[in-house]
Amino acid sequence: MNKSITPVLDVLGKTIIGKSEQLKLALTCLLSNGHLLIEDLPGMGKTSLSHALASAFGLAYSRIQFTSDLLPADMLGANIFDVQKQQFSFHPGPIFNEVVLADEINRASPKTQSALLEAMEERQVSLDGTTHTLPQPFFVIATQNPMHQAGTYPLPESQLDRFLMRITLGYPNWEAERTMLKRSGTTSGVMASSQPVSKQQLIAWQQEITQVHSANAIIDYILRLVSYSRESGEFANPLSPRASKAILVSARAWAWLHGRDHVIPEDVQEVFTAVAEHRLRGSATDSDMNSQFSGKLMAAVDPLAA
Amino acid sequence: MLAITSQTSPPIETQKQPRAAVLLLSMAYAILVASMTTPVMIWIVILAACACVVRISFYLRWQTAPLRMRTINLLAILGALALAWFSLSIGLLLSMVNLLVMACAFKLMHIAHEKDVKQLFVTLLFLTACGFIFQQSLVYTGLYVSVALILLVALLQFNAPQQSLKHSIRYVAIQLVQGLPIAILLFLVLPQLPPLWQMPTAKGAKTGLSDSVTPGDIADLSQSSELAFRATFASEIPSPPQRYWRVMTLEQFDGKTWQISPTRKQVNRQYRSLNKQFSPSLAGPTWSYQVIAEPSHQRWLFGLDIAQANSNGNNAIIQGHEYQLLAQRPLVSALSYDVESYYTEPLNHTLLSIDHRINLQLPQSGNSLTQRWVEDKLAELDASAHPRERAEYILAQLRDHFSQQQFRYTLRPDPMPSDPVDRFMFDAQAGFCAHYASTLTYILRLANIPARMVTGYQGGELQASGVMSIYQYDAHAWVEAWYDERGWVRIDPTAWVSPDRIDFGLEQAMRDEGSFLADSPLSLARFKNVALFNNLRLWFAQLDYEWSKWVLGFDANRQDDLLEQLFGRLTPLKLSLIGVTVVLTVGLLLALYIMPQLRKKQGDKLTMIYQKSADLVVEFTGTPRGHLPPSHYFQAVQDKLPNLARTCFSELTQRYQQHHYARPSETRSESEKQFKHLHSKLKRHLQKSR
Repeated sequence: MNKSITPVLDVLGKTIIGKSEQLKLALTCLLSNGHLLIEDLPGMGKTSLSHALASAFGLAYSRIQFTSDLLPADMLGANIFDVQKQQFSFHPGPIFNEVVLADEINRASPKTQSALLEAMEERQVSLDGTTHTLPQPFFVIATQNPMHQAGTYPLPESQLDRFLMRITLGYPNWEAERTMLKRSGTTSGVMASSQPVSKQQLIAWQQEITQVHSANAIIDYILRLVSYSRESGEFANPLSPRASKAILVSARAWAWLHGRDHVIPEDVQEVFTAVAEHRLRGSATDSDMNSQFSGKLMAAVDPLAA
Repeated sequence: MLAITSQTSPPIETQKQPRAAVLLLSMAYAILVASMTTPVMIWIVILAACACVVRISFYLRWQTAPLRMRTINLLAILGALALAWFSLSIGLLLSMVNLLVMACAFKLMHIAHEKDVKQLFVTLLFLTACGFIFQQSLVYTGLYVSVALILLVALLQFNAPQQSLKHSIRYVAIQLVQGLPIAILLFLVLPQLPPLWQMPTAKGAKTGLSDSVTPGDIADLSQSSELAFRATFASEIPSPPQRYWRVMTLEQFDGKTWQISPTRKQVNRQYRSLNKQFSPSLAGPTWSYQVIAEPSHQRWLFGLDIAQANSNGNNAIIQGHEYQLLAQRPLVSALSYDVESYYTEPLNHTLLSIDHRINLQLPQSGNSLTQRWVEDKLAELDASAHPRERAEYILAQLRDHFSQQQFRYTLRPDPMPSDPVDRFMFDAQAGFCAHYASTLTYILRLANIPARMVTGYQGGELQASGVMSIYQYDAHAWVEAWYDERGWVRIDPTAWVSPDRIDFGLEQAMRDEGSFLADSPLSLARFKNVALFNNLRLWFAQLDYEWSKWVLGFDANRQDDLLEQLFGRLTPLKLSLIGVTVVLTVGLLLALYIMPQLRKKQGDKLTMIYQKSADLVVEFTGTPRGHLPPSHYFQAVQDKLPNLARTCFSELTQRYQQHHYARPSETRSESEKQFKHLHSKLKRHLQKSR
């Protein structure tokens, strides 16, 4: 484990108990400058996680509750006529924050969804011909409830592809939940704990991660994985080049997180489900929470093969 | 082939694609065995059929559980014992071929691993080459080429199961066509070495005439439409009654069986030790022709009297003192030789005293009726009559006897186990050439006239362009009697009773009896009267002739001729230069083709070593590696490994990972040697703790 990141993980671990794997993945996603999709039932700690991540790095945090009547302007902001100055002035919406929690993203209309996704990809907002750059770092955590699909607009494949990772939290185990309950009175105390790292540090780390070495063998392994998904005919939604880039980027971050300056196949395999499953599965989100597609793909491709 | 292998990975029976490849292999195997039913013993053929059925039932999923190793081992032991027993009588070569066929059958019954399939493939390819020991004709060449094709397709299917069968066949065919020019070049140019080992001649493999004739024992003369030899006439072509192809002279009679005289053998040995070849000075008109003799595994050759021959191959030809031709070594492959036949020259070039002594020999007892018949006839004649008159009188009397008693020519004579000459003369009165020849020779000897039986071929089918094909069913026996003035004179008593046999061949003679080639119902020669079939047969015979002439007959001499035409006068230096150049060119082209792939492989040597080590660990722990990356696999198995091996494998895993994935600058120190050392250390530890 990278020594400089352990304090951050410790703090997060105190907030979200017994979910160290998911925390590491979420952190990896943040470190590789990607966006995170969390799929889970209500009350599993989605909001806590995003809030904890924001506060751990001292990032500005906002939360947008997506509903079917949410309009793009509610999220992006709007030009409002300033009577005193006799001109339009831009009022930034909640998206102009460093960590944005888009709660229940699939409840909003496609129009709003795509406005968010465009902002995620471009890292800027265009309004009435003016371009407004979003803050740096910019990290969107979207959540969706996979169970109750009535009156929702499932994200199409093309938009799922924009999320670097998709994770699920799941129920905590006995011990973790017991610890959580015992501590329930002092939750706010943990939340208010001192800020361990600065925003600048985060950006420096992000830079550092791009320097992690990935040998040809790793690149070839990733290529074999994606080309198998395309050529075997077993997958309805093969992996796109964006997906292969995502695999490499997150494997690098994962390797850095574990204190290595080079990527090994284990890194690829450990981030693979989070990165690839939602892309392989497509919009058929209902109830299917496991890792069957990515698991099949990993079983079919030998990391060592020449 | 029959080693017991431990079960580590799931057996191939349960996987879909390899089953198709294995089915192809068994198909090739079935064709091979079917083409070799003569050299392969019948019980092994049955075993092979069983193996193929086992394979088919796996393919169709009638059966899914693999056969038990113990059952197969038991069968193998029994088979090996039986083969060892039979090998005493069939000779080394045939035993080895039988062993290979048997081993393939057992391997086919139990294919559990990838290596089994590969082993089977290589063995079958070798067996295909073995097929050429027994058959070299055009048909079999085509058959064996297609077997090789099936084998290659099977291998491709096994290694690349996602390919469709059609694609595989096309791929292999293209490769085969690409390889063809190289094969032709090597065939034309590379020096043809004499065989490195003497081919053992097995008893069963001999074809053609046997060196003894027992007419009384044969109830149904078996005939074969197999080719005996071909003659290509450059000169005038002899008419059918002149086509007496001499092979053997049988001079010893024991009352039942005619065979080569032991005295003659002794005399010939003496001649040989004195290095005295039979070389009469001959003159007069000749027939000149070239003979291509089919491989018979015998030394006998064919010629019209009196023949002088020159071999075109490296098998020298000896002129025998009984006017026949003999090869130096048994004919394991086709032999072509040029013959001049001085057909007007009388056969009186040998030492009379020896011929007399040998050819007046009579058995001690038996055939008393015939003896009395000859005595009676001679009594009618003046005692002082000239031997020639005596001979002519006896011949005339016998001819009368044959025609009065209405002797018949038949291929289905009654068996005559005792006193065969008596039985034939006064009882059965029907027989084929050997009966007539035997009887006449015996009677002439009783009349104190030197006589002997000659066996060979009579007739031959003339095809276009002066090519004559002589088949096994043209085999014949006739008589030679000694006339003081004329030497040995050919008398054919068969012609007295069946002139058709001599003038038109066996088929015409047997038209009424219907026994011509009765035991080979599918032979095209049986359907000569159907024009289409006959044309087809003749066309095919011509094709086969070209094949033996140009391909099988392409020996060292022809090669020299060809090279001389291409490159001028040949010196040994030039010859070796040509050979070396061709081999180097082909080698270079192949190297250029293969090198890039080889280099790619080389770079991944460490991966190979790691994989080998992982295989050892898999074998030891029984945990398949699946597609786990190195360190995960190490974690999966570390508790199952003994301490020392664990340390070893851990180091190997770490080093491999470091080498393979870390920044290049840190990996230079990693050497292949250290890796190999670690690998062998791991192997040792694992073996120790097993």
